Amino acid sequence: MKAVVCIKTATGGAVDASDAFDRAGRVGAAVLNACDARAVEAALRIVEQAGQGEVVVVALAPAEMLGAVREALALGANRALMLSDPLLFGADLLATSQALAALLAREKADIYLTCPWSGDVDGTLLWTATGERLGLPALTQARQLQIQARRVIIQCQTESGDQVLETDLPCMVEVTETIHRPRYATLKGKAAARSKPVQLLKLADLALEPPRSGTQVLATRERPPRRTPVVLQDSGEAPARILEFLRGKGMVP
Amino acid sequence: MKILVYAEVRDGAPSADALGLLAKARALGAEAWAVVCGPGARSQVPELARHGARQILVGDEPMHDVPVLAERIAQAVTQHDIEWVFIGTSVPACDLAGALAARLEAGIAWGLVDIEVRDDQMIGTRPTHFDSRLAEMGWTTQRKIALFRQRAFAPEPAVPTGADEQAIVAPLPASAEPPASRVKVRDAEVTVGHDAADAASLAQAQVVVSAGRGIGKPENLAHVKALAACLNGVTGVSLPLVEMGWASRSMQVGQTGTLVKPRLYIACGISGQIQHRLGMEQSEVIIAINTDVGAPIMGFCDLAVVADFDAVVPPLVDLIRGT
Repeated sequence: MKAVVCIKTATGGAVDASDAFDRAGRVGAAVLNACDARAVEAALRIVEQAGQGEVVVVALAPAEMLGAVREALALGANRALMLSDPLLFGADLLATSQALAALLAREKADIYLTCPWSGDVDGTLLWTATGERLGLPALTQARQLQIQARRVIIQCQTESGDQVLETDLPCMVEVTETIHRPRYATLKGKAAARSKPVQLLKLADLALEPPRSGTQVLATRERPPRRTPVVLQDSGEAPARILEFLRGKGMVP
Repeated sequence: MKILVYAEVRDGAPSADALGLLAKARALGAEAWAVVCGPGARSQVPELARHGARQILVGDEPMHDVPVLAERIAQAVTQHDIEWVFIGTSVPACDLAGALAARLEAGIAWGLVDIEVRDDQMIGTRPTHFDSRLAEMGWTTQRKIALFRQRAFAPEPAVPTGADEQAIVAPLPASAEPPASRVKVRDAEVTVGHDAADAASLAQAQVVVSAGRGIGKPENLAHVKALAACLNGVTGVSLPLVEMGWASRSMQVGQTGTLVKPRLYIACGISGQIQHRLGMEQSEVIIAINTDVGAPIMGFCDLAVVADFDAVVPPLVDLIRGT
């Protein structure tokens, strides 16, 4: 069993959502974020269950972000690939999916995993766009994931309730933050991580031209705040003040 | 200009988002097309036509079989030379949108709240940085996909009769080599923890009182429900309470739950992460009760009450009941 786990080094430990939205600010602390740790955990469990195989960590990130990759290796992943090329800076989703697909295609894994931050629509879009390029089914929003005799079964969270979907390996699965609690890295794991192989690649190594973006940010502007909160500090008077506020709005008689 | 609206079917009818997108496509002066898929898709045709779809493409492919669906819709887009695809955000719609973008090599902008024509260019508006800034998005590809936030546009009232007869209805084009169907729903449609009636009452409520992790213990939900009851409102929760098993998913307000727009929203012990915020920020009046004055929700409410749940909510219920 070969599991590839894609991590994002864009968002740091604090998972600042603004980074996820901001194309310009794709640099954060070189730590493994909480979501990615869960994807690594899912990959480790799959390979452990199979009894043999390897977990490969994949990241599209500047080489300065190596620290996050090492953390994933410290958890037990076997090796890593980093596609690190200035020509990818500013790439949008369409362009990024081309690069990611080319990178993943090298590994020919049984399963590809990721765990985007849950408000991160672009994470899901990138996943299904990449799956389409690889000709693999890409399942998303998996709260639970099981593999039985090369059949992948997920419980997927949607607006109209949860759905149980199944497909065959090889496939791509996006798991949610609630799937597993990640393990902690041991001292031994951290020591071992330093000597595990990390391959740094450029687009040219993938025989890939710099992919073209399909969108552009034309401008950004301040959004005027729509509410100016009145702050109420004294809890003793709070109930009476809230009632007064509601009366003022005509919401209670 | 042709705009193809992906008409997601939810609870047996075209989603409000799809109808809103049809209204927007018409307001832009475009030729509004719709594509509707899944078992029974054909029965959605009259409703789509009454909301302004002039050409309606119908497919049997189930929504979860994304590779097949994307291939069929991409074929239609190419064959009919459609420039724009408009999609409303949902979990299954996002799956489709990403795959469609790759298949069509179409630029895709997501999280849009508006789109307009300026100097013959379509420009999308997307909130960024926790919604504190707005980005203007442009497209550079021949085919373009615009993915809008939930409820970006309100549907227009349906035209009563006749319109459905004028719409041109066609099946999605068949492909010479259809991709194999590989994703299946196990057993029947298994849905867990969803009650469409609960979610619908939440969506339409004039008053919503919601609880988050900050209420401390599950027993405190009774006080939240009591407050909702005495304001003739409905009780909601944030995602963590669903994950912890304190409440059902149909009670969840937020991006992956129900989007609410009440006159009054009271958030008890909710920090206001972006996922929750997207589901409730269009409320008319927001009161937040939280011990942490620095919680995000304290910045986008009208009354920020910095206090402990126990010190505020139970006495407030007594006060309102006493009046």
